[in-house]
Amino acid sequence: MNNENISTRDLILLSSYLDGELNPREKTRVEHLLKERPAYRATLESLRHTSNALRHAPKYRVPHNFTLKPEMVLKQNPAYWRFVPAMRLSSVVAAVLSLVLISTQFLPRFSMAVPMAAAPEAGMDLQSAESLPMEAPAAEVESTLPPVVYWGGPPTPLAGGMGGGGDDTIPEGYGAGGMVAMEPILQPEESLSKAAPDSAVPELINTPVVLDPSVETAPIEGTGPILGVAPEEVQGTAITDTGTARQATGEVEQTAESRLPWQVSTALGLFGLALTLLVASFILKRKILG
Amino acid sequence: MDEAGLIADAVRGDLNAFNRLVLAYQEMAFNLAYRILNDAASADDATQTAFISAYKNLRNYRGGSFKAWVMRMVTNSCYDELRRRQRRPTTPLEPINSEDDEEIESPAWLADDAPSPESEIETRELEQAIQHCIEDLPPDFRAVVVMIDIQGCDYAEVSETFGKPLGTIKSRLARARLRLRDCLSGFGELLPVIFRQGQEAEE
Repeated sequence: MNNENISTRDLILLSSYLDGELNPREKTRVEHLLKERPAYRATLESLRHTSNALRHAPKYRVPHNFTLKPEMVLKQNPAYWRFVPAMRLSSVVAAVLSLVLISTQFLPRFSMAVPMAAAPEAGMDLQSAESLPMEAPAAEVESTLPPVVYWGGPPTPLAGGMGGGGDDTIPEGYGAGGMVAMEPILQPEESLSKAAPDSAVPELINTPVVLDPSVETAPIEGTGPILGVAPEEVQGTAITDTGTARQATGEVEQTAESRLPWQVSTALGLFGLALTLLVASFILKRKILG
Repeated sequence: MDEAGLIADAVRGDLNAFNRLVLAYQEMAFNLAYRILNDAASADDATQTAFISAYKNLRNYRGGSFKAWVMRMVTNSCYDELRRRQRRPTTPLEPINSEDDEEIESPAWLADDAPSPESEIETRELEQAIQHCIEDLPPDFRAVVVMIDIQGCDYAEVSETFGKPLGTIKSRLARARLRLRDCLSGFGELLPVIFRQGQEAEE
């Protein structure tokens, strides 16, 4: 067959020319091509004969009349049918709600900021060891005295043992990992016996300490926290900090922990509902359409 | 009553009016389905399904050629059947001639009325050749060439039937004709004289 040199566009023109479906400009172009190029004439003739052969194809007689009977068109229950779009809409709504609930678990605005804002200021007096150097100027950090580690019991409410949030009101050097910066070791007994009130925050002492010569001669006694020696009755026992910070933040932590399973389980339930409705709507539609 | 009146009555739920439309188009619908599916039983089912679907969706008919609208239902029904076949391929149970184990050719009721023995043989051979070649076409090409060359529809009706631009229909038809030409040329003597003459002239 001689159609090697005929472009697809010209082939379409030739085919349409057979059926008289060309506009005058296209028709003129095709007639010009047919005059000039024998391959076009041959292809046109072959297409014409193919078309004629198809027109001679026998027509099939219908095996029976396809007229409809009332029972054929009244099979479906309209009320039943209306469930499908309703189910699909419900499925979409459930899926969206599920996504919203899940996303709130991961957005810091919802999961972090609210509990932090709710925590009372007293809960912030425990500061993490990591955050401390960032807030304290380098010069001040260098000037702080080395911490004294207490073993055996919390000498003052400031004695740490645990980290926590940060606050500008907290003096540098306090409350990190059980290390407590204290006033100089040798202080008058009077000042040592004073326990800082829970709510009061001691000021940072970063000046050199002048020791009182009268204190040097005084015997060291008592069970105070100066040497980190705990009373005999509490020595050897593990002490956990149950101070005000934990008490203050306890409620918030409990709220955050108890909220998580409720939201996740609701989201999962909604997601399951969405899937179930979607599958059910597809099954229902298939049943209706037969 | 004219077609528009019958359609209006059918939309109002008059099943008898719709059945008159069915009688007018059932032959074309069944032939189209048969050519696309190449199986009488499947064509029967597809045609019936198409008319039921047409009646149920009459309210969606927005004017234009009713024939094109009904044929669209038929082709959609046929495409559904073709997709079903692709999902679940089956081996057809062809009737076997017990004497020579050859497949029985097209049933007698398929032939035209009162044919002479020679023309009957010629028609049957042509029919086999054409159907074989049509079956090799992609479904979209198949439906277009059947509607235009076998059913005698015009381009605009086919364009409306498939919801495709006229250019797409022209392109599909030209490609389908070219493929059919190449396929039918392989049947040589089986083809009617008019086709052979065309081939000889081309050579």
